[in-house]
Amino acid sequence: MNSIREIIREAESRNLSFYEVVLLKTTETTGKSASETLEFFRKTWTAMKESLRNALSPEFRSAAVLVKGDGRKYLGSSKRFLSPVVKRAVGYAMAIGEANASMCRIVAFPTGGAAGTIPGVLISYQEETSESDERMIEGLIVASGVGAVIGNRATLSGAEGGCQAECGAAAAMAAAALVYLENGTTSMIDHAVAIALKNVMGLICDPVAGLVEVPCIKRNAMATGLAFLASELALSGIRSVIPADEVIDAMKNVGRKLPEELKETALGGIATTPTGKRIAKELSSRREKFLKDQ
Amino acid sequence: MNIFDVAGPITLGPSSSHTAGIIRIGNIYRKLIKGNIQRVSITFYGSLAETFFGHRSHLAIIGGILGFKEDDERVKSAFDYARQAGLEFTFSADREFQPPHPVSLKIEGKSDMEELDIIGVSPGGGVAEIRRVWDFPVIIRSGTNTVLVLHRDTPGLLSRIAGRVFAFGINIGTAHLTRLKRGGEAILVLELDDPIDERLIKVIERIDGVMKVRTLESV
Repeated sequence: MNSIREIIREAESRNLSFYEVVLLKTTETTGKSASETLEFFRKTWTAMKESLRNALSPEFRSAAVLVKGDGRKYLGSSKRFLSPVVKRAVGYAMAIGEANASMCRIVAFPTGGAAGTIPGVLISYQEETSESDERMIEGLIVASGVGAVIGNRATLSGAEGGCQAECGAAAAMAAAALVYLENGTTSMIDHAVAIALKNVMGLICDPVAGLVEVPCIKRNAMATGLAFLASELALSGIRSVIPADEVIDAMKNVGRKLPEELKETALGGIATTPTGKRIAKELSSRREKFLKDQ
Repeated sequence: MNIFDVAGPITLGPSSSHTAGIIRIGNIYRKLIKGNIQRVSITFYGSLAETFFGHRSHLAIIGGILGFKEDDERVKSAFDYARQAGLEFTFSADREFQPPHPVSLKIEGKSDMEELDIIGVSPGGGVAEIRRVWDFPVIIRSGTNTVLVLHRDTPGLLSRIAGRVFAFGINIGTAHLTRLKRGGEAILVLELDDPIDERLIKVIERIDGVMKVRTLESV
């Protein structure tokens, strides 16, 4: 799984879908049969739904330090600009982001920091369209195929590539799944991935006090909105001038050039604003008190 | 990287290196010590000495020592479960020590049968590594079938142990033998390609010169 273009070429030459090619390539490289792969993703899909159910249940107790209840607040607000499916997805993504910050069980798909985006997009999509679980799992496999290409050509780690590699990759993966589920062409998947990643090129990872909360939870909201935008543009026939593989390579190069301060170390970006520094100082004095009280 | 590496793991938040990997270090400690664990003292090293609190690695390590897995929400209440189980625990941070990796910690503890100190590392992605056990430098990785043999440095011991493993039809993937001084205590770390047979462990324990045998199975 090293090239989006290669997956598309194989799909076109053998008259297969993007999903079928990813499944075949997975069997070739890992030895896992199609039914084993589907079983794995059924568990993943179930765990995603459980994590959202937990995040929205009345029993949910937030243990987040800085951000509490944003997902729920947004879901309960009156309709303004976004369509219901997008709005719900954004609320879900933030709720799962907060559950992740609260040490709840989530699916790190592709990472913990970006764990809200893909379930947010896909669960809301299923509620809107009543699509079957089988088909949603195919969408998850499409998303994973795109994620594997990003991981192989570039990186999925914020410490290595910044937030473009985490929330950016999640947006691209979710956009690919949406194009697949909406019966877009395989080329449209390429364009959706390229459009999503181009729009977050260079996005840094600057967590306040090193916590996976600010800006991470709202970055999941952004990535969710971006997934719908990129897939809708691609589905309407809009093309990305730069192909997805080349955008991914550019993202890798940009990630390399980002200084360490802007890659998860909490030494730059919003982490070192006056407010960011004050929060970090408060948290470290709480930590020192915890250690002293032993 | 394949699609299984991308999708998951299913784990507790917020960070695979500060929670999942740390929980696994705790799980490994529990496997390595014999008897009921009574007391542990945890020392955070490197960047973990700064970041543990925000990521709740202190709950993760106690939860892991209690045997909870990385997707078990009981980890969030690990301190309560520890008190119920009669496990005493304390924490400290050592910012002077040069750790093997920025996300490292030491567990010093005792059970009703023995004392055990280890240094564990969480390099990322939920993986755990043990870098020190019984005062020996080692590399033991989570997710492997590993046998640790503490023994007296005597000629022919390695060949006898390897012979027993071969007799069970199991292939040795990697082997590391380290001693502190000639004729003193030595440690053998074997990574096996297949699950460990309990009978094999009994056989190795009976070899003359073998002091302790411990196993880890794909933790």
